[in-house]
Amino acid sequence: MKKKQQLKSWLFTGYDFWNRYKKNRVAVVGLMILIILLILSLFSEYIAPFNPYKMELTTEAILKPPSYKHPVGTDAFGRDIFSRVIWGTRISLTAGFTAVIVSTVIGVLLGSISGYFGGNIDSAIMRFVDMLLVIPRFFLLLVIVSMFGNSITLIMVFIGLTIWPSTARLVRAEFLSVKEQDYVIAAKAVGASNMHIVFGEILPNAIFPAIIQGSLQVGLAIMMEASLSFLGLGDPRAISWGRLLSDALPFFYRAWWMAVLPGVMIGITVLAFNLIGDGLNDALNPHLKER
Amino acid sequence: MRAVDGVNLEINKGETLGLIGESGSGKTVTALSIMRLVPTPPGKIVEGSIIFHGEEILTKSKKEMEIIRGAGIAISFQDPMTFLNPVLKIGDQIAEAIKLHQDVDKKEALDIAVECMKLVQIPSARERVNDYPHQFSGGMRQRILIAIALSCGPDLLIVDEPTTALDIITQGEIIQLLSDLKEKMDLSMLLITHDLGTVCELADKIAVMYAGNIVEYADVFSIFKRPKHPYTKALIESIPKLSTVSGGMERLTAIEGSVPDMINPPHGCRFHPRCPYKILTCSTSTPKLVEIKNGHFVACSYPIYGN
Repeated sequence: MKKKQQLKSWLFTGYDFWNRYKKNRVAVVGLMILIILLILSLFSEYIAPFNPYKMELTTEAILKPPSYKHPVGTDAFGRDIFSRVIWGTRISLTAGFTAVIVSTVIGVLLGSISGYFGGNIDSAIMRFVDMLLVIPRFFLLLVIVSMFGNSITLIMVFIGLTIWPSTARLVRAEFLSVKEQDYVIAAKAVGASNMHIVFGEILPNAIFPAIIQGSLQVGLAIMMEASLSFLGLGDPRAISWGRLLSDALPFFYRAWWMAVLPGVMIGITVLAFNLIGDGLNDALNPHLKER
Repeated sequence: MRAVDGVNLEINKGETLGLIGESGSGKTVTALSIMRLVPTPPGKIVEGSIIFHGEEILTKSKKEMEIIRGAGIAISFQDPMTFLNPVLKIGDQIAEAIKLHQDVDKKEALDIAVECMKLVQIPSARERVNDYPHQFSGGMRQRILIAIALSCGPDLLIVDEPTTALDIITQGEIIQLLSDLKEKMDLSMLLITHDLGTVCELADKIAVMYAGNIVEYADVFSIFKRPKHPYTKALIESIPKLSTVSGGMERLTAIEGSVPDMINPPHGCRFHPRCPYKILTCSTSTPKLVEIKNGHFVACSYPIYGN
């Protein structure tokens, strides 16, 4: 009986959330795009018709226009671009999620400490955040990558390091308002310690804007990775949409088709995450107003 | 600004002390001070001592206070909606309090939480333990606050305005609940309210508070039948009565004036601007709480004798 009720309660809040999310039609479209992208990235081996690394250096095989065999043609090394784009999904999505996980963990940690304790700790952290916000993210990323290396895993983490300050600001603002709520006093009244209040009482309330920002930041992170690779500064061993664009650049007049699909994929992916962020906003904010 | 000035209270085991007064008289601040929950900037305890089980609370460390709060002294707050975390399940909120004071795992804590819910007479406790606060009515939420306060078995329960946010019928239910708990658990209670009906039902002794001072302190019967302080007398008289003799229409008696500005309180006795019995010394000297009869204390230069 107890397990059934627990399931019902979870479904109630989960179902409730889904109902609200569903109301934003385009957000549902965004979610569907994401699901397709996830399938592409998880099952690249089975979906891509060709091996993305396999080169065929003959004049008949390179720079071929779109055909039945190669839906978007081949590149300068005879590799099938369609397959390369599919494999690129994995890198882009991983980059986006990893960067946002790094950014959210750091941002939430620093933002909550700053917002809850206030005083000198708050001032110190916020001055540091201000310093980082002055520097344009992309240039900061360029500097870090040139100093510490450009392997793809490092790049994903570095992107996260450039975007956490805005999350920290957001979480701090939420903490400042939530910590004045009566239920925080009630928690103190039963003997809760500061740690317990920060993570057990305030954080579940303060995390919503951070989640929404996180979903928007995935699009941003993917763009940053693509830009980095486009400039040729990404990981040369990784197949990334940005890299495909930079490959296409020298052949822009001779083989224009090389740039189309990678560019479109970047656009659709970023759009999808923006729509999802919008949907999350609608789904989570009325819940906050209910109070 | 002194929100609370010169308050002397004593509660013995199994006793219920009612603390009554108008809104803004300093009742809630007194309760929060007892548990040292007043945020210390900007608040400050200037003078005095709080003795619990023979020990001075004001010198205890942060860790020791965390143990006392909940298991020694517990408080049930006034507004049941804002004092519950809206994104956590009720069972978890009660279990959290239990886990802070007892070494139990999550499942055991939840079981105890269900028992606490049953204790405060919440129907279908086992099914409702996973619900959220917004799924309960006001009266139920008030019971949950009381359940959280009782969950760690405190020696002293402070109840702050348990009936204010509720409708009259639910008020009666809560009063009955507190009365049952008092009997069943031999509870020591500090009942803070401005509802004289509630306090008359539940309290053994009453302290009357005005503008941060205790102005009268005696057992329930004496307060209601033989009030010595003009403020107490006026409070009792202001209770609306259903008159059966003249067929109804009696004018409500109110106390003239309004609660003083605490930043600039009146000189001498703080009640004197509104007092119908004031004499010259009332505006110059501040009366202290003195025992004028056995167990009956008043802070007045010219207390009411007779009746």
